[in-house]
Amino acid sequence: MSERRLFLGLTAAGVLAVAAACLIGPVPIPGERLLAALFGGGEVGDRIVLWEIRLPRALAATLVGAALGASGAALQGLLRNPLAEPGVLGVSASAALGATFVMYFGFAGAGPWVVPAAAFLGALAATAVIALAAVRTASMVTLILVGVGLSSFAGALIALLTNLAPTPFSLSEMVQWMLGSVANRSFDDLFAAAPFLAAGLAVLFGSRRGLAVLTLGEEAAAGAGLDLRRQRLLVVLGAGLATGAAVALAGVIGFVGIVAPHLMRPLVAHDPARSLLPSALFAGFVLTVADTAARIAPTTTELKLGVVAALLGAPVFVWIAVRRRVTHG
Amino acid sequence: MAELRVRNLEVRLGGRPIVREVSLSLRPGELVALLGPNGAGKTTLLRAALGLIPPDGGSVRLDGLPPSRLSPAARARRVGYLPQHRPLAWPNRVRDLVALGRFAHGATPGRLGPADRRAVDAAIRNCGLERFRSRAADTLSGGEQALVHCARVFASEAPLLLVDEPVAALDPRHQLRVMGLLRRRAREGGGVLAVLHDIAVAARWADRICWMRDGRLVAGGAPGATLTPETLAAVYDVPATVFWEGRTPIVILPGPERPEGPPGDEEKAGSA
Repeated sequence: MSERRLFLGLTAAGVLAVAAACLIGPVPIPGERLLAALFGGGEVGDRIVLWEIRLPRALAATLVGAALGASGAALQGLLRNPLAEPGVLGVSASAALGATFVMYFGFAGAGPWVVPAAAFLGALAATAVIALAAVRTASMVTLILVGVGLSSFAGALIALLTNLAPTPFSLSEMVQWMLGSVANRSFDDLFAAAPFLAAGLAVLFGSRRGLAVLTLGEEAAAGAGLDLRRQRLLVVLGAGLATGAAVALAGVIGFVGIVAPHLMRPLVAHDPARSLLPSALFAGFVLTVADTAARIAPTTTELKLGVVAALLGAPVFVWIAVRRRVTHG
Repeated sequence: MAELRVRNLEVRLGGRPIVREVSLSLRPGELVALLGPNGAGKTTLLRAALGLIPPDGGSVRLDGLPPSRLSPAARARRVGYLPQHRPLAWPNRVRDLVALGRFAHGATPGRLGPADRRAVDAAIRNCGLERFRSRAADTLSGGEQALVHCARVFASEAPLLLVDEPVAALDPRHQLRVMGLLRRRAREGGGVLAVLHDIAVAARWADRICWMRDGRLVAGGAPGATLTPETLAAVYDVPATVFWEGRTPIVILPGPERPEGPPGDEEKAGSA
């Protein structure tokens, strides 16, 4: 029953974090006015601040965190590696490449949906390549190597586009986007990303049972009745969809996909299948808190969420790598 | 009745023939040892018999059906598999690892039905792992981990088991325990095919020995019939001697003589 308590605790923490994100800001809105605005009453100003600025932003941070946390947990289970995350498969980098591409050619101004759509197309293309490799190859190591290669190649192309950026404006736009942020997101942005995010999460949760048996290694898991190809395909597809939606919504946000599953796994008896939900909830909570912190930090320019996540996450990443309990070769 | 039947099996890997014209069968009630030098094709034979790799010729029938016609779970409920390498990705608890044996029955460690729980408890009890139930498996010794893996395949309740080097790198006490468990499994109505390297262990515990070399079965039958210096020379290229002490076979492999002689002689030499 401790898992039930973990779920309830994380859910409560997530709700509190979103509530706090709505309360805190340059214009303080007291609780009772916020409640009134939530149910369509109160002052017009309060309603605009809540419904068009703070709530969509907080929900975007939560959803992006949930997508990255669940994808990270599933990929760590599939690849049997505590340092795996959506970035490892090249999905994040390819999504970033899609976005950078449209910015370079100046299409980004054509509509608010252009950059997210390009990011999502990039993520889908990478997912397709990885899925193909997942079905064809006999080993997970090949899968990781294909992902690393894809990631590096996308990174090289991004560097090329930044290098050749036609105007300082497009350069700054590209760099800004690469930093990752949920500022100025509206409910329209959320609704555009939601179907892909939901589909990705559904695929991941539907296939989580196989992650438990992969603990034994691929050979024993196959012997125990796991369809390895199907498992790989589902996890890669689910993580690709969820990550693509997350990158389309917020740009590149690293580390939370590694750190959240790692912190949650000991709380669920190291079962990768059971770590999915807590990882999603915890990562959503962390990003919401980090985004609120970025908003209220007394800096001249507002900090980007991706920067805050990396500043918090990178040291934890090193700590995980050093403290890793090696149970196999 | 569960039965695994391999007929004229051919398997090529990267164009090289690894298993050639192998025919063998496994039925409940028997413990069969598969012996042969490294690279003889023993593991490949097991993997092809399970349907993990497709045959290039001949046939595999599990209860009359090719394994590829069964779903992975349906196949795993008929035949359990203990691979040679057993890397554990996470420091899971012993009970949870044993519970993974119930995967083919639709269970996971987090969700066990009454029948799953009974099977897991029985497997833990039979393998003498009660006191390790809640321990993280990576804190156990190699011998204890071998017992955990045995418990895991036993928990699947599959009537047939294919086990690859179950006692490699185990001390004599754990060797005896694992072989005892496999033999008891056979006596209680399971069929066990075990790849072994220790000729003496196979000769003592197996009902039948299949001798393999260069992808072919060169001999097969009860230890009393096939455990001969001729077989050992044909399989391993080693001149070995075989004695029978009553009904106990003793295999002696070549090596240098001891200059000091047996312990009794040494004492005499010291007192003289």
